[in-house]
Amino acid sequence: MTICSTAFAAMGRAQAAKLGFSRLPIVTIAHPFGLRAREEVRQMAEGCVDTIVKLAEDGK
Amino acid sequence: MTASTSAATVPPAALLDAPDDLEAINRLYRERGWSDGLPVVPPTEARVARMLDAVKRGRADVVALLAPAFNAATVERIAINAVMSGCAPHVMPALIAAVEAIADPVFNLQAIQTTTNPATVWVVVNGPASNTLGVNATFNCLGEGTWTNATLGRAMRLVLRNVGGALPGALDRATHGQPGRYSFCCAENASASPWEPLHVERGFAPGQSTVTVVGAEGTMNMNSHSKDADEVVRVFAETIVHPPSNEYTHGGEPWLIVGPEHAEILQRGGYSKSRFKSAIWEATKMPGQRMAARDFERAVQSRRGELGEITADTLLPIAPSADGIGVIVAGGPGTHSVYVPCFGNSRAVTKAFA
Repeated sequence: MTICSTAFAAMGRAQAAKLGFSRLPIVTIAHPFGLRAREEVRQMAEGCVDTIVKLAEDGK
Repeated sequence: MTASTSAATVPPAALLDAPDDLEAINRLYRERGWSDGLPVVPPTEARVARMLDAVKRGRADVVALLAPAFNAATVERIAINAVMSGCAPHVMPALIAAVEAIADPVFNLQAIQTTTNPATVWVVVNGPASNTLGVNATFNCLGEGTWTNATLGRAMRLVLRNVGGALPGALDRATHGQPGRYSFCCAENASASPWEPLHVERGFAPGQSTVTVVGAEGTMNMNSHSKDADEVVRVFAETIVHPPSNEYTHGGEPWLIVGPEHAEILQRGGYSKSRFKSAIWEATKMPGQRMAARDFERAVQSRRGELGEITADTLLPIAPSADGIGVIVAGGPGTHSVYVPCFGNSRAVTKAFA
């Protein structure tokens, strides 16, 4: 699995497919987050951490 | 690298019935995203065949797999894009060598093609082919007006786009891009240089022809009427130092296109090319505290292995070593030289061709 921001999600999916990983799970996070305060970024991370853990476990 | 396209599975290019109408064909190419925005020369079978006749390789030969789509750059596909760009057939060997060069892992094409930075491929021609192909190395060598400079650089862009799959807003994430993405190609003005030419410096024989590809972010003109070599070095260095630079963040590879007049001043002032590079490298060290805090954090993460502990007082070199500064002599008469800021996470690659 991989994690990327929404601005790069289409690129991630296209490239994964091209490299033979069309079913690669991609978790997306709203873009941009580079300008957000650390606390906001933490909230965004907490909002997707369960999904990341589930996908990582599914991929074992 | 595992890619879905391999040499064994590359089909020949599909033929497309199109009206015998230049405007209609160009409309079609624009609609399908096959153009750089400028009109193209229709790649008819006859034109592509003439392009293929100029190379000694099979049309299905895979020259490279090009990121980010990892499509195969076959000789035929390169030829099609060369026709579209307006290239003369005798330029094909240089273009093929340049395509091989950008696929070298140290060039980091994946990043060059997909970054938000305005990175593009600058093609530098050295050796006898500079003259035989008619690559301009003098007046306006980075500007318009010379067929080979314009079309070889453009052909590279079309290959990057149509084979590499770098379409702006999709796989290509460039925030602004830059004009050099249409075409960025010149030769070194070796006859006006007091120093050994680039290809010899990089281990090739003087009589070999080479292309060098550079991951370039743009150009910055440096106009100085100084006749003092040390002063020329100082003002060049002050131009190069700028805090929001990918090169300081990652330890890069800045390039300088030294105008012949400046090169002569430097040579008279006792600067060999090697000494010039060392002087620039030393004079461009920048205190980390000049960077924005977040950019400095990135530099610390990126360059820890290279520099060890990095503090706000650390003098960050722009490149890991003085050898990492690229230098060519090019341009016509005048008191100008050019700083070519580069992508940072990329290293130039040189390939010979015949």
